[in-house]
Amino acid sequence: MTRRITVAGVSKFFYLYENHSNKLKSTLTNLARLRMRKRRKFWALQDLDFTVDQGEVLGIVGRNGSGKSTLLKILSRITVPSKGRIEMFGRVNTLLEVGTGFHPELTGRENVFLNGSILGMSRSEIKSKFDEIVTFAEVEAFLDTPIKHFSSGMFVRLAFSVAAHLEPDILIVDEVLAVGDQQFQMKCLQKMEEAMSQGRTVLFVSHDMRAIRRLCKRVLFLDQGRIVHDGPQEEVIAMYLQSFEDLAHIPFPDSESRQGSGALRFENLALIGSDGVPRDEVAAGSDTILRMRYRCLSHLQNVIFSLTISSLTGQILFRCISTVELDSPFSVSKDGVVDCRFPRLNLNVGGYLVEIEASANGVLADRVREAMRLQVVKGAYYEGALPNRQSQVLVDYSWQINPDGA
Amino acid sequence: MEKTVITPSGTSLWGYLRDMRRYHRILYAFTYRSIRGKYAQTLMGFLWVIINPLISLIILGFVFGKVAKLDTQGVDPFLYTMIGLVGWTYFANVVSAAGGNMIGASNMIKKIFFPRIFIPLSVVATALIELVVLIGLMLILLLLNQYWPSKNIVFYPLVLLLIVLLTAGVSFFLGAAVVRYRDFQQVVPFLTRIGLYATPVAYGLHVVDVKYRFLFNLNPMTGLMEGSRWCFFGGIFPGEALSISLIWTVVFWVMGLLYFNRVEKTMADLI
Repeated sequence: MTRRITVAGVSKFFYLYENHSNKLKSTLTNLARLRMRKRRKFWALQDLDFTVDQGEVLGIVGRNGSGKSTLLKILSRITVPSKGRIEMFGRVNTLLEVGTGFHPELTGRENVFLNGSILGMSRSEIKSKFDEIVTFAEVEAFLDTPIKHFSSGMFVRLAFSVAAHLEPDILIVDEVLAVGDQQFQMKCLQKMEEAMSQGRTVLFVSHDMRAIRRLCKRVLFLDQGRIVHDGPQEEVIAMYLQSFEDLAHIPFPDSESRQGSGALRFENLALIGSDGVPRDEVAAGSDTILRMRYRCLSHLQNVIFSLTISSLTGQILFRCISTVELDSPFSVSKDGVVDCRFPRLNLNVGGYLVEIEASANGVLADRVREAMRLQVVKGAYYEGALPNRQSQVLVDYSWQINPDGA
Repeated sequence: MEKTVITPSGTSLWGYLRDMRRYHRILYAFTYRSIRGKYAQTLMGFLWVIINPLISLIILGFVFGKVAKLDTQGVDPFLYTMIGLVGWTYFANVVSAAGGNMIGASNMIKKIFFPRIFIPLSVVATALIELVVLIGLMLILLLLNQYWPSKNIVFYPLVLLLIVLLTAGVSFFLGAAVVRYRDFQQVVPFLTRIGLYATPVAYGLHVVDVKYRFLFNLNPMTGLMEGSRWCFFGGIFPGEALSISLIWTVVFWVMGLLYFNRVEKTMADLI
């Protein structure tokens, strides 16, 4: 086996500033007062050691803030490590985002060439693969249209398609498969598998355990900047999921904000992704479950659960009440779980507060005000693109124009 | 097989040059992107390159030549002004855009690797096209005035080269500085606007009181403006002012590149 990547003792710290500002003024006033801006070191990565051989597909999993992205940025030379050394053999391509460098005013054709060369393809290489790229993206008819007139789905498909036709020795990929509609995602996965079968070395970060299961034999589990485990897929995924379980068994604290009779008490609230396993963030438009675990000692009838999503500023966006959807209320007699499912989560990118509440026979049993801070990331609600963040709630709609005014 | 070594100290000079070669297509792509992007969907396209300096030309030529009636060595004041404006417009446009382009490219800086110096370099390269258009405009003015340049004209390409080099040096410095301190983005366009009057663009240094000439000479662009006019109209060779411009160019290249290199390693974290 040929060694492709050797990572030895890699660490990276950032300075966290008390009040972050890149202003000349603050530097000058600090200089004048002969003092440094108050800052402290934050270690994003600590002492990473691992190697990757030719043809290996290494998955990297970890919760938010575990250092995955920092690791990928170091491996792709976007930033430098603070300590350690990495050696890589072969042509490296990084895919942290699709469509980097696309220019809205230019045509689809021009953008393929532009993006291709930004990703490191030569002109002749792009020329020879041009038809393939365009066919894969299904945008043949719009090649000479400026891409600002593309639908969001078309944009994403074209962008991914260029990236998918790279032929590096080492490919570093960050969660970019969560683009486009379901059908296109499957196509992308297949394309990835194809690339892997050609003996490429791949580093692949994802929150989607289905994709990890399908693509990676070996997985690295990062937590708080350290490698917790490096081993076969099943073993590491189990550990990763266990870390969510561990967290899930920390019950809600008894705070003063907690209201209700206590006949039924919520234990915790978990976020379940479309792959059926817990996670700490979800993509807009993905199949999402909010799972409430509760304790109940007596037999309760007419139990109504409700879940309220509000913005971080506290404005209520919408409320989901179990009796609105069900014909009859629940009856509960022992501990259990209740799921509230969003087949297509209609929240834009950002953070949200989740409040949960249960009542029995019209009496409030429990209410947890800030049961969870829900983190939503880019996803495929509208075939891959999203409106700007001012629009927090997403809805289904379609436009139609009738020039005759009929 | 390509070998990549990543360490905290970044790349050596040799490694950097190798990267520039390896990723040279990105520089082309950036340049193409900004040229096409700038003029896509504009009705008059390239005409805009001329309109701005043309307005400056009319105002400056009028104010300095017709109102203040400064001595223009017997040359038509508009032609006189135009010679200075060619180099100045290039310098001012690039220097004002260098910082903004850095910030504008922040997403690319965070998502892909390439030698970051490509960003200021692409601004310098993009504006070369505008420089050529301006030179064309200047030639038209020469023809209209039926003015035959002095034989010093053979040195004009050298002066232009110096202008481009100085501009590049300043852009390297500003490109790095703006990543740390956004203030530069505000200050530079302001300075270039003052510079249009404070630099002998539309007037010759000879109209400035002798007492203040050394102050004007400290301005890196003064020598190049005087030099441009010397190429067309002859007269005394502005040796002192040109040497100062040359020194500034070297200073900006050395300082600019050293500073850029220092910021570059963690640019993605800072921007």
